[in-house]
Amino acid sequence: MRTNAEMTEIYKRNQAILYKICYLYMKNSHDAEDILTETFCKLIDRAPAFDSFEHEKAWLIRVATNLCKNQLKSWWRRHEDLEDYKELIGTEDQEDQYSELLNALMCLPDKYKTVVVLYYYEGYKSEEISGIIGKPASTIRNYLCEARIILRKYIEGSEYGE
Amino acid sequence: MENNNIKKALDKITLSEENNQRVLESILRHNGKKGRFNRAKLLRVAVIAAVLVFFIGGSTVYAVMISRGELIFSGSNPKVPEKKTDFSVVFDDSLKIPMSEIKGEVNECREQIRKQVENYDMFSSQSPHTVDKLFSDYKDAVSYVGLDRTIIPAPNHLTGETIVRIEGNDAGDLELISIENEYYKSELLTATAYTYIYTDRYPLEVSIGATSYSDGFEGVDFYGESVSVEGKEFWVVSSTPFSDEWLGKVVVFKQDGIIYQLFVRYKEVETEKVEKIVSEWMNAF
Repeated sequence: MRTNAEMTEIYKRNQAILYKICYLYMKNSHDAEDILTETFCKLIDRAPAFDSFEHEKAWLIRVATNLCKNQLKSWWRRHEDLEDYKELIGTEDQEDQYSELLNALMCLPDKYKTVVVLYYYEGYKSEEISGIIGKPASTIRNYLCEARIILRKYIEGSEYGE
Repeated sequence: MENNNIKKALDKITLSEENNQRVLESILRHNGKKGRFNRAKLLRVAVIAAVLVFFIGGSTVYAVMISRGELIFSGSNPKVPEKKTDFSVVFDDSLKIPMSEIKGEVNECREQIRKQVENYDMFSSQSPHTVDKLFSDYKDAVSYVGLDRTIIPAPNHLTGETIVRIEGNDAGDLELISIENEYYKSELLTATAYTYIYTDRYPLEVSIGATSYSDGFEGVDFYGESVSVEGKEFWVVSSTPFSDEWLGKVVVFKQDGIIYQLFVRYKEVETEKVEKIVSEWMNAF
Protein backbone atom coordinates (compact mmCIF):
# COMPACT_ATOMS: atom_id res chain seq x y z
CA MET A 1 0.00 0.00 0.00
CA ARG A 2 1.27 3.45 -0.92
CA THR A 3 1.21 6.36 1.50
CA ASN A 4 -0.92 9.42 0.80
CA ALA A 5 2.26 11.37 0.05
CA GLU A 6 3.31 8.78 -2.53
CA MET A 7 -0.17 8.74 -4.08
CA THR A 8 -0.16 12.53 -4.26
CA GLU A 9 3.16 12.49 -6.12
CA ILE A 10 1.90 9.86 -8.58
CA TYR A 11 -1.26 11.88 -9.10
CA LYS A 12 0.65 15.09 -9.76
CA ARG A 13 2.95 13.33 -12.23
CA ASN A 14 0.13 11.91 -14.32
CA GLN A 15 -3.03 13.92 -13.74
CA ALA A 16 -2.72 16.29 -16.69
CA ILE A 17 -2.15 13.68 -19.39
CA LEU A 18 -4.75 11.29 -17.96
CA TYR A 19 -7.40 13.98 -17.69
CA LYS A 20 -6.87 15.01 -21.31
CA ILE A 21 -7.20 11.42 -22.49
CA CYS A 22 -10.30 10.85 -20.36
CA TYR A 23 -11.87 14.07 -21.59
CA LEU A 24 -11.23 13.25 -25.24
CA TYR A 25 -13.04 9.95 -24.78
CA MET A 26 -15.87 11.06 -22.51
CA LYS A 27 -16.38 14.56 -23.90
CA ASN A 28 -17.52 15.93 -20.55
CA SER A 29 -15.67 16.99 -17.43
CA HIS A 30 -17.82 15.13 -14.95
CA ASP A 31 -17.23 11.70 -16.48
CA ALA A 32 -13.58 12.55 -17.13
CA GLU A 33 -13.09 13.37 -13.45
CA ASP A 34 -14.87 10.20 -12.41
CA ILE A 35 -12.68 8.06 -14.66
CA LEU A 36 -9.58 9.88 -13.45
CA THR A 37 -10.56 9.10 -9.86
CA GLU A 38 -11.41 5.49 -10.67
CA THR A 39 -8.08 5.02 -12.44
CA PHE A 40 -6.21 5.93 -9.27
CA CYS A 41 -8.59 3.83 -7.17
CA LYS A 42 -7.59 0.85 -9.34
CA LEU A 43 -3.97 1.72 -8.66
CA ILE A 44 -4.70 1.71 -4.94
CA ASP A 45 -6.66 -1.54 -5.02
CA ARG A 46 -4.32 -3.50 -7.25
CA ALA A 47 -1.10 -1.89 -5.96
CA PRO A 48 1.12 -2.85 -8.91
CA ALA A 49 4.87 -2.26 -8.66
CA PHE A 50 6.49 -0.15 -11.37
CA ASP A 51 10.02 -0.21 -12.75
CA SER A 52 10.00 3.46 -13.68
CA PHE A 53 7.82 6.55 -14.05
CA GLU A 54 7.28 5.59 -17.70
CA HIS A 55 6.04 2.16 -16.66
CA GLU A 56 3.75 3.82 -14.12
CA LYS A 57 2.39 6.22 -16.75
CA ALA A 58 1.85 3.43 -19.29
CA TRP A 59 -0.14 1.40 -16.72
CA LEU A 60 -2.30 4.37 -15.77
CA ILE A 61 -2.97 5.27 -19.41
CA ARG A 62 -4.03 1.71 -20.20
CA VAL A 63 -6.37 1.55 -17.21
CA ALA A 64 -7.88 4.98 -17.90
CA THR A 65 -8.43 4.14 -21.56
CA ASN A 66 -10.17 0.88 -20.73
CA LEU A 67 -12.32 2.52 -18.07
CA CYS A 68 -13.39 5.12 -20.63
CA LYS A 69 -14.32 2.42 -23.13
CA ASN A 70 -16.29 0.53 -20.53
CA GLN A 71 -18.07 3.65 -19.36
CA LEU A 72 -19.03 4.56 -22.91
CA LYS A 73 -20.78 1.22 -23.16
CA SER A 74 -22.51 1.48 -19.78
CA TRP A 75 -26.25 1.63 -19.40
CA TRP A 76 -26.52 5.18 -18.16
CA ARG A 77 -24.25 6.55 -20.85
CA ARG A 78 -26.30 4.88 -23.55
CA HIS A 79 -29.42 6.60 -22.29
CA GLU A 80 -28.14 10.12 -21.75
CA ASP A 81 -26.36 12.73 -23.81
CA LEU A 82 -23.79 14.05 -21.36
CA GLU A 83 -21.40 15.84 -23.70
CA ASP A 84 -20.40 19.26 -22.46
CA TYR A 85 -17.18 19.88 -24.35
CA LYS A 86 -18.81 22.69 -26.34
CA GLU A 87 -18.30 24.77 -23.20
CA LEU A 88 -14.55 24.40 -23.62
CA ILE A 89 -14.83 25.57 -27.18
CA GLY A 90 -16.80 28.59 -26.10
CA THR A 91 -19.37 30.77 -27.78
CA GLU A 92 -19.09 31.83 -31.41
CA ASP A 93 -17.50 35.11 -30.30
CA GLN A 94 -14.84 33.26 -28.33
CA GLU A 95 -14.05 30.63 -30.93
CA ASP A 96 -10.55 30.52 -32.37
CA GLN A 97 -8.49 28.10 -34.43
CA TYR A 98 -7.69 26.06 -31.32
CA SER A 99 -11.38 25.69 -30.50
CA GLU A 100 -11.98 24.36 -33.97
CA LEU A 101 -9.05 21.99 -33.64
CA LEU A 102 -10.24 20.81 -30.24
CA ASN A 103 -13.62 20.11 -31.77
CA ALA A 104 -11.87 18.05 -34.44
CA LEU A 105 -9.88 16.15 -31.81
CA MET A 106 -13.07 15.30 -29.94
CA CYS A 107 -14.53 13.91 -33.15
CA LEU A 108 -11.56 11.66 -33.90
CA PRO A 109 -12.27 7.93 -33.78
CA ASP A 110 -11.37 6.67 -30.30
CA LYS A 111 -8.47 4.54 -31.45
CA TYR A 112 -6.43 7.61 -32.42
CA LYS A 113 -7.01 9.73 -29.35
CA THR A 114 -4.42 8.40 -26.90
CA VAL A 115 -1.71 8.27 -29.56
CA VAL A 116 -2.42 11.86 -30.56
CA VAL A 117 -2.19 13.07 -26.96
CA LEU A 118 1.05 11.18 -26.34
CA TYR A 119 2.64 12.38 -29.57
CA TYR A 120 1.50 15.97 -29.76
CA TYR A 121 1.07 16.88 -26.11
CA GLU A 122 3.70 14.78 -24.38
CA GLY A 123 6.14 14.91 -27.27
CA TYR A 124 6.81 11.18 -27.39
CA LYS A 125 8.24 9.61 -30.54
CA SER A 126 6.34 6.81 -32.19
CA GLU A 127 8.88 4.26 -30.90
CA GLU A 128 8.34 5.52 -27.35
CA ILE A 129 4.56 5.41 -27.73
CA SER A 130 4.96 1.88 -29.01
CA GLY A 131 6.71 0.98 -25.76
CA ILE A 132 4.03 2.61 -23.64
CA ILE A 133 1.02 1.05 -25.25
CA GLY A 134 2.39 -2.16 -26.67
CA LYS A 135 1.72 -1.63 -30.37
CA PRO A 136 4.29 -1.74 -33.17
CA ALA A 137 5.85 1.62 -33.98
CA SER A 138 4.71 1.24 -37.60
CA THR A 139 1.10 1.01 -36.39
CA ILE A 140 1.56 4.10 -34.27
CA ARG A 141 2.90 5.98 -37.29
CA ASN A 142 -0.08 4.83 -39.34
CA TYR A 143 -2.47 5.98 -36.65
CA LEU A 144 -0.78 9.38 -36.50
CA CYS A 145 -0.88 9.71 -40.27
CA GLU A 146 -4.56 8.76 -40.44
CA ALA A 147 -5.42 11.08 -37.54
CA ARG A 148 -3.63 13.97 -39.26
CA ILE A 149 -5.60 13.36 -42.46
CA ILE A 150 -8.88 13.39 -40.54
CA LEU A 151 -7.92 16.52 -38.61
CA ARG A 152 -6.76 18.31 -41.76
CA LYS A 153 -10.00 17.50 -43.59
CA TYR A 154 -11.98 18.75 -40.63
CA ILE A 155 -10.01 21.98 -40.35
CA GLU A 156 -10.09 22.62 -44.10
CA GLY A 157 -13.85 22.34 -43.98
CA SER A 158 -14.10 24.95 -41.25
CA GLU A 159 -13.89 28.71 -41.57
CA TYR A 160 -10.36 28.63 -40.15
CA GLY A 161 -9.18 26.28 -42.84
CA GLU A 162 -10.48 28.25 -45.75
CA MET B 1 -1.32 22.20 -39.44
CA GLU B 2 1.45 22.81 -36.96
CA ASN B 3 2.07 20.32 -34.18
CA ASN B 4 2.06 23.19 -31.74
CA ASN B 5 -1.54 23.99 -32.64
CA ILE B 6 -2.70 20.56 -31.55
CA LYS B 7 -0.84 21.03 -28.27
CA LYS B 8 -2.50 24.41 -27.77
CA ALA B 9 -5.90 22.91 -28.52
CA LEU B 10 -5.27 20.15 -25.97
CA ASP B 11 -4.19 22.82 -23.48
CA LYS B 12 -7.82 23.85 -23.32
CA ILE B 13 -8.59 20.58 -21.55
CA THR B 14 -7.60 21.27 -17.97
CA LEU B 15 -8.94 20.39 -14.58
CA SER B 16 -9.71 23.48 -12.52
CA GLU B 17 -7.69 23.88 -9.34
CA GLU B 18 -10.82 23.32 -7.26
CA ASN B 19 -11.80 20.14 -9.09
CA ASN B 20 -8.20 18.94 -9.14
CA GLN B 21 -8.12 19.18 -5.36
CA ARG B 22 -11.48 17.45 -5.04
CA VAL B 23 -10.36 14.53 -7.22
CA LEU B 24 -7.10 14.18 -5.29
CA GLU B 25 -8.91 14.26 -1.96
CA SER B 26 -11.32 11.60 -3.20
CA ILE B 27 -8.38 9.40 -4.21
CA LEU B 28 -6.65 9.90 -0.88
CA ARG B 29 -9.88 9.05 0.96
CA HIS B 30 -9.99 5.80 -1.00
CA ASN B 31 -6.36 5.17 -0.13
CA GLY B 32 -7.21 5.57 3.53
CA LYS B 33 -10.30 3.45 3.63
CA LYS B 34 -9.14 0.18 2.12
CA GLY B 35 -10.90 -2.54 4.02
CA ARG B 36 -13.65 -0.20 5.12
CA PHE B 37 -16.34 -2.81 4.71
CA ASN B 38 -14.36 -5.40 6.65
CA ARG B 39 -14.49 -3.04 9.59
CA ALA B 40 -18.11 -2.30 8.84
CA LYS B 41 -18.98 -5.97 9.08
CA LEU B 42 -17.94 -5.97 12.71
CA LEU B 43 -20.12 -3.00 13.44
CA ARG B 44 -23.05 -3.87 11.25
CA VAL B 45 -26.35 -3.07 12.80
CA ALA B 46 -29.59 -3.81 11.09
CA VAL B 47 -30.79 -0.26 10.79
CA ILE B 48 -33.92 -0.38 8.73
CA ALA B 49 -34.86 2.76 6.83
CA ALA B 50 -33.13 5.07 9.26
CA VAL B 51 -32.56 8.31 7.42
CA LEU B 52 -29.32 10.10 8.13
CA VAL B 53 -28.50 13.57 6.99
CA PHE B 54 -24.97 14.82 7.15
CA PHE B 55 -22.68 17.21 5.36
CA ILE B 56 -19.44 16.55 3.50
CA GLY B 57 -17.42 19.36 1.95
CA GLY B 58 -20.39 21.63 1.54
CA SER B 59 -22.49 19.07 -0.32
CA THR B 60 -25.45 17.43 1.29
CA VAL B 61 -25.56 13.67 1.46
CA TYR B 62 -28.67 11.79 2.41
CA ALA B 63 -28.37 8.12 3.18
CA VAL B 64 -31.09 5.60 3.70
CA MET B 65 -29.43 2.81 5.59
CA ILE B 66 -30.75 -0.64 5.27
CA SER B 67 -29.16 -3.80 6.56
CA ARG B 68 -26.21 -4.68 4.33
CA GLY B 69 -26.78 -1.79 1.99
CA GLU B 70 -27.03 1.97 1.80
CA LEU B 71 -29.00 4.13 -0.59
CA ILE B 72 -27.01 7.35 -0.82
CA PHE B 73 -28.02 10.60 -2.45
CA SER B 74 -25.42 13.27 -2.97
CA GLY B 75 -24.90 16.51 -4.84
CA SER B 76 -21.89 16.83 -7.12
CA ASN B 77 -22.88 20.11 -8.74
CA PRO B 78 -20.69 22.64 -6.90
CA LYS B 79 -22.98 25.49 -7.93
CA VAL B 80 -26.03 23.82 -6.40
CA PRO B 81 -24.63 21.52 -3.73
CA GLU B 82 -28.01 20.90 -2.17
CA LYS B 83 -29.26 19.35 -5.41
CA LYS B 84 -29.24 15.56 -5.13
CA THR B 85 -27.85 14.88 -8.59
CA ASP B 86 -26.29 11.51 -7.74
CA PHE B 87 -27.45 8.33 -6.15
CA SER B 88 -25.86 5.02 -5.40
CA VAL B 89 -26.85 1.87 -3.64
CA VAL B 90 -23.70 0.61 -1.94
CA PHE B 91 -23.46 -2.98 -0.81
CA ASP B 92 -20.91 -4.66 1.38
CA ASP B 93 -18.62 -7.54 0.49
CA SER B 94 -21.12 -10.17 1.63
CA LEU B 95 -22.79 -9.66 -1.73
CA LYS B 96 -19.85 -11.07 -3.64
CA ILE B 97 -20.42 -14.59 -4.92
CA PRO B 98 -17.61 -17.19 -4.88
CA MET B 99 -16.49 -17.67 -8.48
CA SER B 100 -16.68 -21.42 -7.94
CA GLU B 101 -20.49 -21.17 -7.74
CA ILE B 102 -20.70 -20.02 -11.33
CA LYS B 103 -20.96 -23.28 -13.24
CA GLY B 104 -22.07 -22.33 -16.73
CA GLU B 105 -20.32 -22.14 -20.04
CA VAL B 106 -19.45 -18.56 -19.12
CA ASN B 107 -16.27 -20.02 -17.64
CA GLU B 108 -14.97 -20.37 -21.20
CA CYS B 109 -14.56 -16.59 -21.11
CA ARG B 110 -11.78 -16.93 -18.54
CA GLU B 111 -9.42 -18.27 -21.17
CA GLN B 112 -10.70 -15.75 -23.70
CA ILE B 113 -10.00 -12.84 -21.33
CA ARG B 114 -6.54 -14.20 -20.54
CA LYS B 115 -5.78 -14.34 -24.27
CA GLN B 116 -7.22 -10.87 -24.84
CA VAL B 117 -4.96 -9.51 -22.12
CA GLU B 118 -1.94 -11.33 -23.59
CA ASN B 119 -2.65 -9.95 -27.05
CA TYR B 120 -3.52 -6.61 -25.61
CA ASP B 121 -4.65 -4.01 -28.11
CA MET B 122 -5.67 -0.83 -26.41
CA PHE B 123 -6.92 0.60 -29.67
CA SER B 124 -9.53 -2.00 -30.31
CA SER B 125 -13.06 -1.02 -29.41
CA GLN B 126 -13.17 -3.87 -26.91
CA SER B 127 -11.54 -3.76 -23.50
CA PRO B 128 -9.32 -6.84 -23.04
CA HIS B 129 -11.03 -7.48 -19.73
CA THR B 130 -14.51 -7.66 -21.22
CA VAL B 131 -16.42 -10.18 -23.30
CA ASP B 132 -19.93 -9.56 -24.64
CA LYS B 133 -22.23 -12.41 -25.62
CA LEU B 134 -25.58 -12.04 -27.34
CA PHE B 135 -28.55 -14.31 -26.79
CA SER B 136 -31.96 -14.28 -28.40
CA ASP B 137 -33.56 -15.62 -25.22
CA TYR B 138 -33.07 -14.41 -21.64
CA LYS B 139 -33.32 -17.95 -20.29
CA ASP B 140 -30.44 -19.04 -22.53
CA ALA B 141 -28.38 -16.16 -21.16
CA VAL B 142 -29.07 -17.23 -17.58
CA SER B 143 -28.23 -20.86 -18.41
CA TYR B 144 -24.98 -19.70 -20.00
CA VAL B 145 -23.97 -18.04 -16.74
CA GLY B 146 -24.98 -21.10 -14.76
CA LEU B 147 -25.80 -19.63 -11.37
CA ASP B 148 -28.88 -21.67 -10.56
CA ARG B 149 -30.47 -19.26 -8.13
CA THR B 150 -30.71 -16.45 -10.70
CA ILE B 151 -34.30 -15.30 -10.96
CA ILE B 152 -35.85 -14.43 -14.31
CA PRO B 153 -38.15 -11.49 -13.54
CA ALA B 154 -41.42 -11.33 -15.49
CA PRO B 155 -40.25 -13.55 -18.37
CA ASN B 156 -43.15 -12.52 -20.60
CA HIS B 157 -41.44 -9.12 -20.93
CA LEU B 158 -37.98 -10.46 -21.56
CA THR B 159 -38.48 -11.18 -25.21
CA GLY B 160 -35.82 -9.12 -26.96
CA GLU B 161 -32.13 -9.67 -27.46
CA THR B 162 -30.18 -10.26 -24.26
CA ILE B 163 -26.59 -9.12 -23.73
CA VAL B 164 -24.33 -10.88 -21.25
CA ARG B 165 -21.24 -8.84 -20.39
CA ILE B 166 -18.41 -10.65 -18.65
CA GLU B 167 -15.65 -8.65 -16.98
CA GLY B 168 -12.49 -10.31 -15.70
CA ASN B 169 -9.01 -9.53 -14.48
CA ASP B 170 -5.60 -10.18 -16.05
CA ALA B 171 -5.60 -13.75 -14.73
CA GLY B 172 -8.97 -14.46 -16.32
CA ASP B 173 -10.89 -14.52 -13.04
CA LEU B 174 -14.47 -13.44 -13.57
CA GLU B 175 -15.21 -10.25 -11.62
CA LEU B 176 -18.63 -9.14 -12.81
CA ILE B 177 -21.30 -10.68 -15.02
CA SER B 178 -24.21 -8.53 -16.11
CA ILE B 179 -27.27 -9.58 -18.07
CA GLU B 180 -29.17 -6.85 -19.89
CA ASN B 181 -32.49 -7.05 -21.65
CA GLU B 182 -34.88 -4.56 -23.18
CA TYR B 183 -37.81 -5.11 -20.87
CA TYR B 184 -40.38 -2.83 -22.40
CA LYS B 185 -40.35 -0.27 -25.18
CA SER B 186 -42.86 2.17 -26.54
CA GLU B 187 -42.58 5.66 -27.96
CA LEU B 188 -42.76 7.34 -24.57
CA LEU B 189 -41.44 4.62 -22.29
CA THR B 190 -38.39 2.39 -22.29
CA ALA B 191 -37.54 -0.08 -19.55
CA THR B 192 -34.36 -2.14 -19.37
CA ALA B 193 -33.80 -5.03 -16.96
CA TYR B 194 -30.37 -5.86 -15.57
CA THR B 195 -29.00 -8.68 -13.48
CA TYR B 196 -25.59 -8.16 -11.84
CA ILE B 197 -23.45 -10.95 -10.43
CA TYR B 198 -20.38 -9.69 -8.59
CA THR B 199 -17.87 -12.38 -7.76
CA ASP B 200 -15.45 -12.62 -4.88
CA ARG B 201 -12.74 -11.52 -7.33
CA TYR B 202 -14.34 -8.11 -7.84
CA PRO B 203 -11.80 -5.72 -6.27
CA LEU B 204 -13.95 -2.67 -5.56
CA GLU B 205 -17.02 -1.77 -3.57
CA VAL B 206 -20.22 -3.10 -5.06
CA SER B 207 -22.57 -0.28 -5.94
CA ILE B 208 -25.30 0.63 -8.39
CA GLY B 209 -25.82 4.28 -9.14
CA ALA B 210 -25.90 7.18 -11.53
CA THR B 211 -25.32 10.88 -11.81
CA SER B 212 -27.37 13.40 -13.73
CA TYR B 213 -24.93 16.32 -13.45
CA SER B 214 -22.49 17.46 -16.08
CA ASP B 215 -20.93 20.84 -16.76
CA GLY B 216 -23.40 21.43 -19.53
CA PHE B 217 -26.43 20.46 -17.44
CA GLU B 218 -27.00 21.26 -13.80
CA GLY B 219 -28.56 17.88 -13.20
CA VAL B 220 -31.87 16.74 -11.85
CA ASP B 221 -32.80 15.68 -8.35
CA PHE B 222 -32.95 12.02 -7.48
CA TYR B 223 -35.15 10.96 -4.62
CA GLY B 224 -36.27 7.63 -3.33
CA GLU B 225 -36.64 5.18 -0.53
CA SER B 226 -36.74 1.54 0.31
CA VAL B 227 -40.05 -0.14 -0.38
CA SER B 228 -41.18 -3.42 1.13
CA VAL B 229 -43.22 -5.74 -1.07
CA GLU B 230 -44.34 -8.95 0.56
CA GLY B 231 -41.48 -8.68 3.02
CA LYS B 232 -38.86 -8.03 0.36
CA GLU B 233 -36.97 -4.75 0.25
CA PHE B 234 -36.51 -2.79 -2.96
CA TRP B 235 -34.70 0.50 -3.47
CA VAL B 236 -36.81 2.76 -5.67
CA VAL B 237 -35.18 5.95 -7.01
CA SER B 238 -36.94 8.51 -9.20
CA SER B 239 -35.78 11.65 -10.92
CA THR B 240 -37.32 15.02 -11.51
CA PRO B 241 -37.72 15.78 -15.27
CA PHE B 242 -34.60 16.06 -17.43
CA SER B 243 -34.29 18.95 -19.90
CA ASP B 244 -36.03 16.82 -22.52
CA GLU B 245 -38.91 16.31 -20.05
CA TRP B 246 -38.21 12.61 -19.75
CA LEU B 247 -38.26 11.16 -16.27
CA GLY B 248 -36.12 8.39 -14.84
CA LYS B 249 -36.86 5.63 -12.39
CA VAL B 250 -34.51 2.95 -11.12
CA VAL B 251 -35.51 -0.01 -8.98
CA VAL B 252 -32.83 -2.12 -7.33
CA PHE B 253 -33.29 -5.43 -5.56
CA LYS B 254 -30.86 -7.99 -4.22
CA GLN B 255 -31.50 -11.59 -3.42
CA ASP B 256 -29.11 -14.45 -2.73
CA GLY B 257 -26.16 -12.23 -3.58
CA ILE B 258 -27.49 -11.21 -6.99
CA ILE B 259 -28.50 -7.63 -7.82
CA TYR B 260 -31.45 -6.96 -10.08
CA GLN B 261 -32.22 -3.57 -11.55
CA LEU B 262 -34.99 -2.10 -13.66
CA PHE B 263 -34.17 1.19 -15.38
CA VAL B 264 -37.08 3.14 -16.82
CA ARG B 265 -37.17 6.35 -18.85
CA TYR B 266 -40.57 7.80 -19.63
CA LYS B 267 -42.70 10.83 -20.27
CA GLU B 268 -45.05 11.91 -17.50
CA VAL B 269 -48.10 10.82 -19.46
CA GLU B 270 -46.92 7.23 -19.03
CA THR B 271 -46.61 7.42 -15.24
CA GLU B 272 -49.46 5.02 -14.62
CA LYS B 273 -48.00 2.48 -17.04
CA VAL B 274 -44.61 2.80 -15.36
CA GLU B 275 -46.12 2.06 -11.95
CA LYS B 276 -47.71 -1.06 -13.41
CA ILE B 277 -44.49 -2.24 -15.02
CA VAL B 278 -42.46 -1.60 -11.89
CA SER B 279 -45.03 -3.34 -9.71
CA GLU B 280 -45.10 -6.34 -12.03
CA TRP B 281 -41.30 -6.55 -12.00
CA MET B 282 -41.17 -6.34 -8.21
CA ASN B 283 -43.82 -9.00 -7.78
CA ALA B 284 -41.85 -11.39 -9.97
CA PHE B 285 -39.35 -11.99 -7.16
